[in-house]
Amino acid sequence: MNILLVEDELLLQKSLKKLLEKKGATVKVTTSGREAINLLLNENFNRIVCDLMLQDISGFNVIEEAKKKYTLLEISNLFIIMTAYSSKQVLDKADTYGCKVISKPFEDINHTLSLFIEGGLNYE
Amino acid sequence: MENSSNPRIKKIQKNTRLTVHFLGSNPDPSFAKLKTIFSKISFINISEEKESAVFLATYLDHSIKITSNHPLIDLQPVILPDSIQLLANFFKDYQHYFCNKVTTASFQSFTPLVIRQHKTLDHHIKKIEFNILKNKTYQVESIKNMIMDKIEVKKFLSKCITIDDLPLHILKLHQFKNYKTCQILIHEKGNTAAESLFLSKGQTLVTSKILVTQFNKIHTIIKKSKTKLFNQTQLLNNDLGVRGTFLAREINLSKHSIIIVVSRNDFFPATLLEQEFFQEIIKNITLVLNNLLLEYLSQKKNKLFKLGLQHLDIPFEICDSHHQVFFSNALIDTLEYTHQDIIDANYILRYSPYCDINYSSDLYHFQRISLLGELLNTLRHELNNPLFGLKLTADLLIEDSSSEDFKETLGDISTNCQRCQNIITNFSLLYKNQDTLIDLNLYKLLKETLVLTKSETRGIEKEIVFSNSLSKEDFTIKTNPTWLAQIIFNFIINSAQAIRLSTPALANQKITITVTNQYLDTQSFLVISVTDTGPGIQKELIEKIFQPFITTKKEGTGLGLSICNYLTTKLGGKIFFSNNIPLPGATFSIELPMNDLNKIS
Repeated sequence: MNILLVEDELLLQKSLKKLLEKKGATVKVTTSGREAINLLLNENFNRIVCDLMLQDISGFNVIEEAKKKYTLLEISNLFIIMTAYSSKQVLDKADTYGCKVISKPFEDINHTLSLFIEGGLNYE
Repeated sequence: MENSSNPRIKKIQKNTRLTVHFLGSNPDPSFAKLKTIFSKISFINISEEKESAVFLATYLDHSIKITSNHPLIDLQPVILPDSIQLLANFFKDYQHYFCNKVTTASFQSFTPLVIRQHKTLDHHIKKIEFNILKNKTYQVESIKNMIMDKIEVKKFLSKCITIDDLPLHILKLHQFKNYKTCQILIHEKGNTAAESLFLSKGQTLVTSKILVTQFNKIHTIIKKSKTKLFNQTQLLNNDLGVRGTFLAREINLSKHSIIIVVSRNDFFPATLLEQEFFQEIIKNITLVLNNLLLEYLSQKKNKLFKLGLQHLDIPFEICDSHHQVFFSNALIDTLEYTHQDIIDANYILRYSPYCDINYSSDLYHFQRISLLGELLNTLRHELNNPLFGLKLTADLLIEDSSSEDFKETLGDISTNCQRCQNIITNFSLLYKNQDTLIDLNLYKLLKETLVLTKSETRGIEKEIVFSNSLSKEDFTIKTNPTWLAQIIFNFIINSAQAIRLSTPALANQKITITVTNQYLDTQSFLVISVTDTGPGIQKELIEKIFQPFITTKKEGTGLGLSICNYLTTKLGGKIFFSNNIPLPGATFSIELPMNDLNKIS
């Protein structure tokens, strides 16, 4: 299981990496959206967990760039969006990509972790 | 041939016309001769009023001064040596004539001025002479007709009171009697559209808007043209209503660009005379046009300004220098003052916030409150993320750590992070305008509200008391948690601040929140009261305590209780207060109606 974690809150990034690795995943991390684009175009991941409000660009920009490599269906399965701003606009936009949106802080950390690993298909 | 670049030629050409004009249609046999001579004299002096030309000639050691009226004269005096002789001869021949007719003109001593470049000038004069001889009487007449004298100009300009009238007055000029249409395009600089006034003779004025891009296109073409004479092959534009050939001219004013177009709607080009007249009329109307347009602009501005004042949220009055109020946006009837009066005179703008106390709004305070809401929202998002990271990391480290001491400290960090998050969430909930009613445990809500007031109530004892019939654990009501929490929050904050203001010794001070169930007839009410041990409410405040901006605190907005009042009404309840006589302090309560719908337990 290859996971790319794009999160600019370092403590959160570190903890999530550790937790996911405990569950047996290989986790690559970055704080920058541009770097994330580079990584996802040059390497292959089974999951990309992406924060929306990054320092340089938005998580949606990352998804847009991913269209160069993946189909829309692949994107909807590949990406999971994390955000502390789960406004209606954000949810609507995420819906256009078919991606799951996880609000921060997570209500149930274990549920969220398994979602990251197993994918968003069975998640309501 | 004629050197057309010599400016003097043009002047002399004008001069000759003047001469002819002066002589008019006099059938006297002296006419031709006089004409010749005057064309050679070419000596023109301009009178002080610049309205007339003065012709000077010498005769029998006298100079003869003959005045001709014309508004366009702007010529320098020129006299040629041989013309003196000619004139002398002429006067000799026609002495009789002059004695009768022109001697009314003044005679004065005169030394003729001889110009050196006699040769070149003489050449030009000859040309002019030739031209004049070619002229026929009717031409002379038509030239005369085409010239507007000062009185005519004044008459014309005084007729133009509004811009809308201008096309009509232009077409009414006898010089344009064959013209069928006049169109004026006005572009106020900065606007995206220009206005078009189009008048066909005998019809009503048509106003329309045209795009500024179209306007600029037309403007550029007209500006580049020297003759200002156009036909449709040069300038075909749907926005121009003219047909055939037409005269057009652009005018640039301080705030407007204007294009004036006149046309006979036929294919014969305008004569040179008409062209010249057109230029002249444009010159004359430019000034009045600018005034008209600026006046129109300032009227528009004043209208908008007045409208803005009348609808301004802040009530205010304008007083004249005698402090007499004559404009107030709170009154329906305003006195009859025009806007210019307000601007011109040194009136005082007086802010009157309390002319209608119930509806007056202090923009500043409301801005502050709404800003606070926005700030809280931002804070929530900006703090939630790092707090979440902190908590998660602390939790992880607990599992990794072997030292009990570490584990305990990390546990504290985690708990406190959670607490911070809760506070932030609760705070932002307070400012969220939720209209939904939910079932909630009242005791829990009151406790959470108390947590929010922690910094204000520090050191003061607090207690939540439920009357016997109600269970703290199970008592649930259906209400709006945000509104209810805000009311209780304000009550507690007020109590705490009142206590702190009255005494530094907080040991015996107490804030009690009491919840009781009351029955009145068949109706059941829930009463939530906040009682404190502070100084109580001053008599003079009792009347106006729920009015906005009434505050006893230095930093207060005076909005707390007025918001409570408003929210209680929204919840369908009543708000009241009393001093705890004979005990110290005050009690603020809300009474909410309870029925099967909102009472769960």
